[in-house]
Amino acid sequence: MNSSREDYGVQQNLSSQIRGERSSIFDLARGRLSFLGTVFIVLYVVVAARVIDLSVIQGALLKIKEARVVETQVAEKPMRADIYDRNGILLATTLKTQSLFVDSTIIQDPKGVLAQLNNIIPNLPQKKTLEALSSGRRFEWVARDLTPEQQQNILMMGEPALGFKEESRRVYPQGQLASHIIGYTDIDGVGLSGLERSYNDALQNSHVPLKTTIDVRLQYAMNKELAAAIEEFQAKSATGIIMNIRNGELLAAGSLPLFDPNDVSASNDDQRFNRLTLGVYELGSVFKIFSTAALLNEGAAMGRTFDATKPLKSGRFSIHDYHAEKRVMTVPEVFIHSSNIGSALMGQQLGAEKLKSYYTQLGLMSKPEFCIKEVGSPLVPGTWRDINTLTASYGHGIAVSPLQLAAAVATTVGDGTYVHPHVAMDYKSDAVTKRVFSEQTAIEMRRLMRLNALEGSGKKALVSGYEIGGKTGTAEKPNPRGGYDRDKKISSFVSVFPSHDPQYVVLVIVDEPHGHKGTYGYATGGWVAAPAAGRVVEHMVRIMGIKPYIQDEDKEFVSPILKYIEQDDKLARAN
Amino acid sequence: MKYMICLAVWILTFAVGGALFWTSNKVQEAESVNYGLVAGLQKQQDDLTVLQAEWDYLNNPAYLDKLVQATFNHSAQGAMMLASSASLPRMRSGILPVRKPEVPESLKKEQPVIVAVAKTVQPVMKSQVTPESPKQKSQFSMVLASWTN
Repeated sequence: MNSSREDYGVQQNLSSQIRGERSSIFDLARGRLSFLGTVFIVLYVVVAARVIDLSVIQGALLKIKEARVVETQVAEKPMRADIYDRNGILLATTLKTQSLFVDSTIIQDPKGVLAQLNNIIPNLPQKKTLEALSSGRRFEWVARDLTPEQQQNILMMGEPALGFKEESRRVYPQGQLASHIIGYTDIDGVGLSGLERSYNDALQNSHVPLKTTIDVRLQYAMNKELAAAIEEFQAKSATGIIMNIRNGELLAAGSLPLFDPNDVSASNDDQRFNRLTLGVYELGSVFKIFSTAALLNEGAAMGRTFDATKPLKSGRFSIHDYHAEKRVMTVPEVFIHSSNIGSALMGQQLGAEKLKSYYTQLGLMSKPEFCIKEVGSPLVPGTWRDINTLTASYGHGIAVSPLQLAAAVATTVGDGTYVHPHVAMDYKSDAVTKRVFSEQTAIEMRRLMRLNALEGSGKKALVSGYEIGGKTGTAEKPNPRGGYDRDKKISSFVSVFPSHDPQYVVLVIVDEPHGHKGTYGYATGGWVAAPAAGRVVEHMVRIMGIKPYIQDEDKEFVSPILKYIEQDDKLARAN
Repeated sequence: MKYMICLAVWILTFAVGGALFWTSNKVQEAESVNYGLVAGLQKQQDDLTVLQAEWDYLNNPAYLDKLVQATFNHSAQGAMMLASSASLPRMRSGILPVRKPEVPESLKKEQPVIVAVAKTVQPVMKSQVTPESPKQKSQFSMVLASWTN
């Protein structure tokens, strides 16, 4: 009995053990299935949620996202910054354009496509375009910088092999107005000349626009008068500057002939040459301003006399006067009669070292510092001999750029400290501003220049109601075979106004003018450049609203030096 | 208890997942709107640049000078005629009466009435230049064109 109970107990234990094992196995399997099921459910929910997200929620924002892609592309390559004149007039800007390319692997009829393109794009190079259309390459440029109308017409063609790529193009709304100063870029937007070249990094890497000191109204007036002078005197070229004496800002800077920076390929090297800063010329008698100022600054009196009765001989050279007075002259007389002999004697009295020192301080002996890189180095004698001192006193044997001349004149008649010329508004020179002449010398030079305009060679520059002072210059051009060519002249006039308190320098230089009946055959600075400078001043006073002066002030201003001038009828009238 | 904890964990996971999903969507939406606005601004800026370039092109001094000469046919005034507005004489106050002036007694009596007579006046065509009679039709067209210009 006991054994049977024991057996029953063992069986019960075994049965329950077997049941427990089976139960735990089922539980484990059920748990695993539940877990996997849950995981799959979660995954399906996630996938379903993502599908709804992509198709419904984000689908509505797809258009905005496309704009985001465009925006990102734009942001990667910033547009080249604009250039403005001093009044906020746009001189250079960058516009987005469309350029046409072809995937020639899928083009069916290259000749037919070319024929259609010819109707839309004028002057399409036939051979080059056909080569591009049938080259077998995936990408070939066909035409750059299309107009919106051309793009529309090409789209209407429905040719799948043609595509467009957005590019940027430099545009100069003022055209050729200030082309030599602003410069131009290549098709990839890299500056090649002028401010575009000199400020290339700043314009490319920042959105800050470049403000210039140019006033387009004055620039137009200057260009107009230079063009008129070229036409009237059948000249080769002309250059002009309007500079603010106080701060060296160039308000106008013209170098004719001009070129259109919107279509540089249509111009030649002569048109692109910047005569204003890169060209250097022997400018003749305008240099008498500096030799006279140097002498006065060294303490010479206005009444000091110079014997101009006969030509001045130095070695095998002989210095003559253009309009020989053949008499002893004072400083003002030498200046207003533009005596080469008198000026040479002034240089002789100063000595070579002092004259060179003044010319160096005036920035006439070395390459000037300027906002644009196309700046020419002056031509000065390699070995400075005595004759060079004499000739340099009246502007021969030394060649400088018009920019250097304008800066030197501004220095002389301003307050005597060097004026740094510049065309970028935020320009700051590293050079220390040095005093070249005393204030008294500057005042004396203003008087001399005013007297020269009243009674000397600059009468044709006078504008009624305005105190204009100035100095003419007429120089024969060097002959490539040696010596000077008497038929080829450079006529110049540099004026300052108002004389008693100079604000502006106006310089006009005309290259190779030819006299005509109206000028009795003369093509000198007084006949050619002075009238043009006067007309520029007339434009200036109208544009800038400069009021006429009171006539009596003028007599008082020049009266201190009238006593040093031989009184003839003309001068008596002036007095 | 074990199931409750599991359930709580799942609920929490779903809740956090859902919240993250919602936040992610909101951020993307805001980002897209922002980019859209920036793109719109950029496009407007481009349009403004084009307009400014066109405006300055049409207002370049050479073009304006040409227009002035063609339209107004006047030459520039002399520099001596320049004056500032400050130099103009000041207008005296009281030029216009501030109230109706009193009428003297002598003028108050009845005045004879003058009757205005309307008269029709025929307009008279006056021309400084008497055009020649056109001989042919083409010549007439040329004359007509010169008048209209």
